[in-house]
Amino acid sequence: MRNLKTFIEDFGWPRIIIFFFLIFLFIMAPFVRVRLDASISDVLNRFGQNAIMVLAMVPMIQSGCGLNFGLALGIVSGLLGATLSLQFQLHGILGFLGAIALAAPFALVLGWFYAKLLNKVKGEEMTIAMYVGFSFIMFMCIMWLILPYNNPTMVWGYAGKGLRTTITVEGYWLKILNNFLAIRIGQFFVFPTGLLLFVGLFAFLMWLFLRSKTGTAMTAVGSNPDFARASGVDVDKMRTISIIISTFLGAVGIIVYEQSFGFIQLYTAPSPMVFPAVAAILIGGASINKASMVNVLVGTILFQGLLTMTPSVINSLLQTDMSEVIRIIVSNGMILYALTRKIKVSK
Amino acid sequence: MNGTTKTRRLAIRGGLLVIYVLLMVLMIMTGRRHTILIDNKDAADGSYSAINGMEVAIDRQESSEYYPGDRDKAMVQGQTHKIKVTIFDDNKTIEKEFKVPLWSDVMIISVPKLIAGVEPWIEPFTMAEQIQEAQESGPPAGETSFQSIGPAQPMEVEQVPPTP
Amino acid sequence: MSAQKKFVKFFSQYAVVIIFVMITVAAIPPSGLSIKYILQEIITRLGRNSFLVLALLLPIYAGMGLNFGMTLGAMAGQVGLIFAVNFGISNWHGLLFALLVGLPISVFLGWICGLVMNRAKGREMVTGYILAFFINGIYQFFVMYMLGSVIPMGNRAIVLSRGYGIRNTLNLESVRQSLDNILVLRVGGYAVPVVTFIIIALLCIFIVWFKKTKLGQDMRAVGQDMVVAEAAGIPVEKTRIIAIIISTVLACAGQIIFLQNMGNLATYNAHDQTGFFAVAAILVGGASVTHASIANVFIGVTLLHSMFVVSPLAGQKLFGSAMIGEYFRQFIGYGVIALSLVLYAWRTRKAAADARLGLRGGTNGSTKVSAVKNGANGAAGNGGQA
Repeated sequence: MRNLKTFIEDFGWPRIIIFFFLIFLFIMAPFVRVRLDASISDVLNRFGQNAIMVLAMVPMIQSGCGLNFGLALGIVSGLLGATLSLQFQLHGILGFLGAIALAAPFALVLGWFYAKLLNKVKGEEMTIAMYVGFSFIMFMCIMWLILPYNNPTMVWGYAGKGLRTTITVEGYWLKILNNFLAIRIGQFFVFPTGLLLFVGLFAFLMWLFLRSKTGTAMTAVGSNPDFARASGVDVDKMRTISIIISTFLGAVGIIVYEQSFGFIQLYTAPSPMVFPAVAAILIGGASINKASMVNVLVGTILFQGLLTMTPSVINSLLQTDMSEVIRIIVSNGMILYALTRKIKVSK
Repeated sequence: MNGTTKTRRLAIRGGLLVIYVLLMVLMIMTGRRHTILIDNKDAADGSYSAINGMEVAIDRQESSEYYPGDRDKAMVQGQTHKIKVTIFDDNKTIEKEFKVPLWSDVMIISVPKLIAGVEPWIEPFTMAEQIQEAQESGPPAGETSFQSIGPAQPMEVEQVPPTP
Repeated sequence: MSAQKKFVKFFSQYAVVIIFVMITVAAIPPSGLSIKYILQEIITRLGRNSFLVLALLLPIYAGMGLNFGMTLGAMAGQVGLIFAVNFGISNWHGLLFALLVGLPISVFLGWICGLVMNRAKGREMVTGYILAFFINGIYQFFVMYMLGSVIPMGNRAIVLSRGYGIRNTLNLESVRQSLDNILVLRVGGYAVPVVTFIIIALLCIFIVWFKKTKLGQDMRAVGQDMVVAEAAGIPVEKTRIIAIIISTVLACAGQIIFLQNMGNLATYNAHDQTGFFAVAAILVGGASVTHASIANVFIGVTLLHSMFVVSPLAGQKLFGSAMIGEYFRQFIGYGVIALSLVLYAWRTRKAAADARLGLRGGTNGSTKVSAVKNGANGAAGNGGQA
């Protein structure tokens, strides 16, 4: 009994409520004639789409930099990589990997500068990261208009320059991961094997990394910077590494998202992508100074499950579309809950 | 001692609350806007006839001219108002005060009735009533009322976080 | 202090203001706007926005940083306006009615905001920001689903055709510029909304007076150091809550003033940018996270809005695209907030590091100590060099 109580306290009421709400939605689904197999397929797909961006939160949380509200930098690097891969007419798997390869240098450089900045402002990372992210998105809005891209599928037809707000990746690398070894059962259920394998690979690499020498040093910096410094760990270097990894994962994450979603969304599109990633890892049980692979897995499934199931089920139940409002309240409520929670010093 | 300060504090708070509510009521009473329709038409039964030409002003608003068959509107705020009619034929000026009920949005003043002394010359004017009348005289409901049943389309709401 | 050092100090303190003045002045000629037009726009926008920006001052005094939670007050003001329009109350009566409706809501929301921020000390800004989003969800739920169904709306014209929920855009024709138009002074071709400015002036006087009261002094003490204030017997948490409540209430009134000037209400997103514009304005005016004055507010509104006026046209002329100017001004707005926050965090850290060094008796002890003093004043030791 006591075990259960501490478990609930550890896990937090909001998460439990969300969990049971999701279960309720799945139980209700057949009664309102929402196909369960299609829903599960949808949840899996969206899990794969978003998981790597959620994974990107882990290194920075572990190294004590807090929630990466500046993930937009990584996302924009990914967008640069994706648009460049289209510009160079890279198709198929080559295009997808090419996009990642092309995004990498941007992610590394931006991440490095971003890290330099955040190392100067320890303790204020989250607010500053948010505004650095926003202003960089706005800067890139100008850049998308004036950069000399000329692939006709990407630029505005009448002007011949300036990128479109949404660019289709059809004919390049649409669903390249989703369709890899995909298992189709019946009319509605598709198991996106390739996508989940790719996500699994990254999660595994992250898991390995966190157990490596650098990874443990990074965690040490996060849990007690003074102690880490005393034992000879270069705090700033560890933070820099974590921020660069996070930015790079943001870039990979958005490219994975795009290949499944089918479109590259430019201009202000990256800014609403950051908060769901933050919310997801928090729903998974992470706090602002501790996160694990389990948090990523559970959080993404719960959050994306909620986003998939509420529109279909709640709409059929109540005859109105409340999903948007539920999404706003759940995701921001979750972040708020994490921010106001008293941080446990020792574990 | 302690008890008296407590009751006094309670009384003051209660008083403030009452004043607050009264202020809100006052704002509704003085601030509600009404539309006044000014009408210059013959009666259906010929008991009075339209004025041949006149100038009507509500309160201190700019006056406007009316000829038979005209109808115009004025916006007023609050409940007590004055109407001033100047008839061109005999250059006679009539001034009357009238009250607008608080919750009626549109009132209609028939100036010929006012001149002829027919009461009531001011009446509430509800479009809803007219619409209802029109519907009642229309075709039976069974044939036409299928379309509007069912959930309305939800509107677009900006996605969160609504950053620019 | 040498001249060069003075210059460096001055520059680092006013870096944001200086950069801003340069950008704006440079953008005026290409925009092709006349000085007269720009001045009239600034007068209008001062009347429209100053009140909202002034709402930020008290939380800064109380050491709670920039109150992004002011959006809560804005939402309360909008609920007030929705009811004023629903009852068909026009003119300034409608505005006062909206304020009377919004006031209790904003006090309640401010209280919530204060409680939440007390649980997140040191992270007030990001918490306020997220709280604003969270309450936005509840606001949407209330306005989109409750109004017209649970709470009857008499005015069917403002309700969606489905029978409940308020329309996306609300025409505030009945109260449009009713505050500005009570008395308009025309000086040399410029129209000045006198009553609006009188109200803003009264608020300024209130703030100056408030700072001198016991509560105001307590607020300063809490802002300086919570531990010391607590030891001195000041109820820290309560004082912080009061600061936020006042700020939220002012934001409610400010949003009503803002919207009566705009003349229509985008029901579901008019408040999105409220916090952003207000914070950007006060920072552009030279305020920092811990220090702000009334002068910062007016300098900030003037500078920020003159740039907002000129940038779209300047972008059109310089790059052949109005969108570039539009993006540019948002970039600058966010950039300014980021830059000021960075500069501030940088200075505090530097001051702390210097203090440590000074205590250890570093090689250059005396200058370090003076740097600490500068740092404590919110000025930079030498942060501007890098």
